[in-house]
Amino acid sequence: MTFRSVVPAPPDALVQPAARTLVVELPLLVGYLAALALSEWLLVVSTPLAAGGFGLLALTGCAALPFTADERSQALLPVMTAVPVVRLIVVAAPTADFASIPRLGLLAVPTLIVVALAMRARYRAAELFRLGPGGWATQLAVVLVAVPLAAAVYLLMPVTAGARGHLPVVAAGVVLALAVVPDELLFRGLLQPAITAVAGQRAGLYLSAMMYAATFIAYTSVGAVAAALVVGLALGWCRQRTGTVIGVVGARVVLVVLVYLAFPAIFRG
Amino acid sequence: MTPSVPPPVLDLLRHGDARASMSAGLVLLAVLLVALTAKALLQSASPVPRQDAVRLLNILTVPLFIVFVAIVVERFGDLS
Repeated sequence: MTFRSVVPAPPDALVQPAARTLVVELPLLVGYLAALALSEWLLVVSTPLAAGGFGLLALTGCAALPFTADERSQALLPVMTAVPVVRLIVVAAPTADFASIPRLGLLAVPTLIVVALAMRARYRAAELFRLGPGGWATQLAVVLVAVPLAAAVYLLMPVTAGARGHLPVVAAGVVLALAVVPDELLFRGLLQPAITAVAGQRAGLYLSAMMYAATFIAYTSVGAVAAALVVGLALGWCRQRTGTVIGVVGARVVLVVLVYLAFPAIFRG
Repeated sequence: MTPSVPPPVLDLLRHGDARASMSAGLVLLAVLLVALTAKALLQSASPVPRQDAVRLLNILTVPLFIVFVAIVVERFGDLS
């Protein structure tokens, strides 16, 4: 007759590291996209519920780190955490009384901090801004892509009047230009290459564009989501081809200045 | 006849309001507390805390703390 030992495990066993079995792959990324889209949709129903969704998603990213089995999954987690943190900041920051463009400028500050911290966790800024093959001519060509893109966005997503509040046009342009840089660094600079590393080029392009478009779900406008998807795919493709964010950041700056300031002035007088 | 209003580009919380933003602020505070607790536990658990885990938690704690301070300052501004 044998007796199973009922002696408690030695203390060492209690502090052993968690089993590292988690590898971030396509199904997990699709699940993350669905959770992000659901949280965005909750904004239509209840802002606190949506904030809870973003918070939960961010905390899940942190909790997953001890279980990750490979370097590429570990590199993806800071970015997967950063996206819901940025969205939580957008919905919770006390900026409801500001006009759109000044508010966007204010929100860019914490967003830039999130991006800098996510970058510091795994990446080198110099790699992100390295001039790719083709040099400045290629980057300029990427910036010019913004012109037809801006026309498409302007048609799909009309701009509300009074978006710049009391800001003069030049100041609004500067605020807009600075405000979209962190956003672009997050989605095209960090998220896309991190997804590409774990799931391949095609998944990197499509999933990062869809995640970017998902952040527009709360507008409850098919045009807005479609415009964001088009921008995400076009700039993502350019990012993939050039291997740097210089051109796409420039393109995004030109795009928002055209859509929010130049086109309304031209077409509405 | 009511004119059709274009979708509120960049205006996610325009209709919304300070009350919704305040409730979201409470959620932000809860997330910040959880993240700070996890960070404190991590740092006290071993003499050499895992740097990658601490850095990951910093992505939550640093910006959320800044926004939390902004919320507190704004509330004090409303009171005065």
